[in-house]
Amino acid sequence: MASPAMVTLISSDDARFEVTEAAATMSQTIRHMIEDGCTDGGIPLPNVPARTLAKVLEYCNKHAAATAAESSAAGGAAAGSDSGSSSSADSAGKDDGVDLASFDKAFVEVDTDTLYDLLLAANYLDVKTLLDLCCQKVADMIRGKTPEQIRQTFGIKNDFSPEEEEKIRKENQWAFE
Amino acid sequence: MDPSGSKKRASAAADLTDDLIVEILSRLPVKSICRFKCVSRHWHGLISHPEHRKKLPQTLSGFFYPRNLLNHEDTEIPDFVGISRGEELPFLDPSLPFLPGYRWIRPKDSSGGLLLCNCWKENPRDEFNYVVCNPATDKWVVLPEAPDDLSSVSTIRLGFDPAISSHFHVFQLLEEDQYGYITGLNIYSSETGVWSHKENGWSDEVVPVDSRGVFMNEMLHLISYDVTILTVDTEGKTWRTIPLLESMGFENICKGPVAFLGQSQGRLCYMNTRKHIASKISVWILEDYSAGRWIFKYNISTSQIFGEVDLMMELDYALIAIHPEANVIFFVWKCEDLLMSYDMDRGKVCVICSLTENMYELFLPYLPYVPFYHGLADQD
Repeated sequence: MASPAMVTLISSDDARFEVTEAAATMSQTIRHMIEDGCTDGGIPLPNVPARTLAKVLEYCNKHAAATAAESSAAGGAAAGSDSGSSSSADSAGKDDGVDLASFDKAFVEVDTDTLYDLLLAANYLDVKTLLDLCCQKVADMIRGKTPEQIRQTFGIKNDFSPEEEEKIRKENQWAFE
Repeated sequence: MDPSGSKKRASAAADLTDDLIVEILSRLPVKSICRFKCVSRHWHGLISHPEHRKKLPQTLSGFFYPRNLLNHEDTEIPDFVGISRGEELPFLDPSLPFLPGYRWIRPKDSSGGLLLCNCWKENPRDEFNYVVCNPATDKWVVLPEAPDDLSSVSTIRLGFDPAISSHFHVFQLLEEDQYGYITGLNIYSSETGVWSHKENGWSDEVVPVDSRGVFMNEMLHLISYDVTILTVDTEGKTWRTIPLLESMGFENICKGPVAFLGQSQGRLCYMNTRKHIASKISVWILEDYSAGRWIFKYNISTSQIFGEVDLMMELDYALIAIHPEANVIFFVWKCEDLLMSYDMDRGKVCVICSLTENMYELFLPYLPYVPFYHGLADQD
C-alpha cells in the first residue's frame, strides 16, 4: 500500500505540522489551497496559532481515520460474497459511530478560551462538523443564562437605556421565568 | 479568579463574528433567544434581523385578521397586528398581494406558519378557491375541489407541524342539514395533492363547536357540544373522544358556547366560563394526553382584567389565543376595540394595541401566527 499523501501546515507562530491530505482536506479552506496548488513549502495558516491548530488536527485525524475505516469496511462488505462478512463490517461501522460520538463529546470538554479559539479556527478553516460541534457546545453552555451573564461571557457592554431594556424585557417577560 | 484570564476570555468570545453568534443562537430554544434580546442593541438587532430570523426558532408574532375595505363594498383583505412593537414583520405586506386574481380573501385558519384562506375570484365573481399560503415566503397552493357530497361543509381547518412533517393537511368537516351532526370528513394532503373522504368515526350525533381547533401530535382537536374534545389524525384512521370533567362544561349563548381550546408548551389548554359565574374564566391543562387526564390550573377574574363585572365571553370579549411558550392569553375587548394580553402567572394585564373598529361582525377571527421561513411544505 502506498504511503498516504502528506501536506505541511504552518501555524501563525510558525510551527509546522505534517498531516495526511485526507485529514487536512476536512478543512475546505485547505482543500481549496491544495486544489489551487499553493502547497509548496507548506500551507501558511496565519489566523491559527499552534496550540489551536494542534487541537483541530487531533479532531481531523480522528475523523479522517474513521471515514477511511468506514469506506474500507463498506468496500469490503460490497466485495464480500457471504452475508457473514457484511454483517461484521456493519457492526464495526456502528462501533466507530459510538466511538466518534464519545470522542466528540470529550473533545469539547475544554476551558471556554480554548472552546472559542476552536470555534474561530473551525470557522476560518471551514471544518463544518467541528464548527457544528463547537457551536452546539457553546449553545448548551449559554441556554440558561440571563442577559447579564451573557454580557459577561461575551464581554458585551449594555448600551440600552434602563427604560429601553425594561420595555424589551416586559415584551418578553415569559422568557425570564 | 485571575483577572487577566477573565479579560482574555471576554476578548476571545468578543472575536466571534455576527454569523457565528447567529449559528450559536440557532441552536437555542426560542425562550433563550427572546431573553437575549435584552443583552444589547447589537444582539437585539441580530435576533430581529429578517435574514437571521430565518435561522432562529420563532414564536407567536401576532395575528392575521380580515379587514373590510370600506370604499369597496365587497372587498376584504387580510391584515396583521403584531404583539411586539418595533419588531420587523416577516412579510412586507400582510394583504398577501402575491395571491393573484382574488377580490376577497378571508383567512380561515392558521397552523405552523401557514394560512388557510377562502379566496373569492374577481372573475367569475361567484367562484372561490381555498388557498394555503406562507406569508413569509410568498408561496401558495390552490386546493383542488373537494369531493362532492350532499352534506354541507361546517368547518374547515388547517394542520401543519413542520417539526414533524413537511406536509400540511386540510380538514373539511361535513354535517347533515337538520341538526348539524357530523357525517364525515374530507382530508386534503399536500403530499398526495388530493382529497380523501372518511366516514364519521366518532359517535353518532356529535356536533363540533365552530371555534378554532388545535393541531398537535399530528391530530386535529375540536370542542364538541356534548362537552368533549374530538380528535382525528391526518389519515382519518384514528378517531378519539377525550372527555371533559363535569366542571369543564360550558353554556351556550346566542353566539355559541363559551369555551376555548388552545395549545401551550406542548399541551392542550382548555378555558371555560359558566353561566352563574360569568366573571370567572377557568383554565385547564391536559396533563396526561394519552390517559385524557385534565388538571385545573387557574381561575381568572374578568373583573380584574376589565375593571367591569359581568362581562361575557363571546359577547363582550373573545379569547383569541394562548401563547405557545408561556402562560399568557390574548383576547379582544369588544367595546373598547382593544387587543390585550393577560399573564396568568403574574396576574398582569397588558394592552397591546387598539384595533380598527369592525362594524359588520361581533368578533372578527384573529388567527395566531408563528413565522415559518422554509417554503410551503415541500413546495420549495
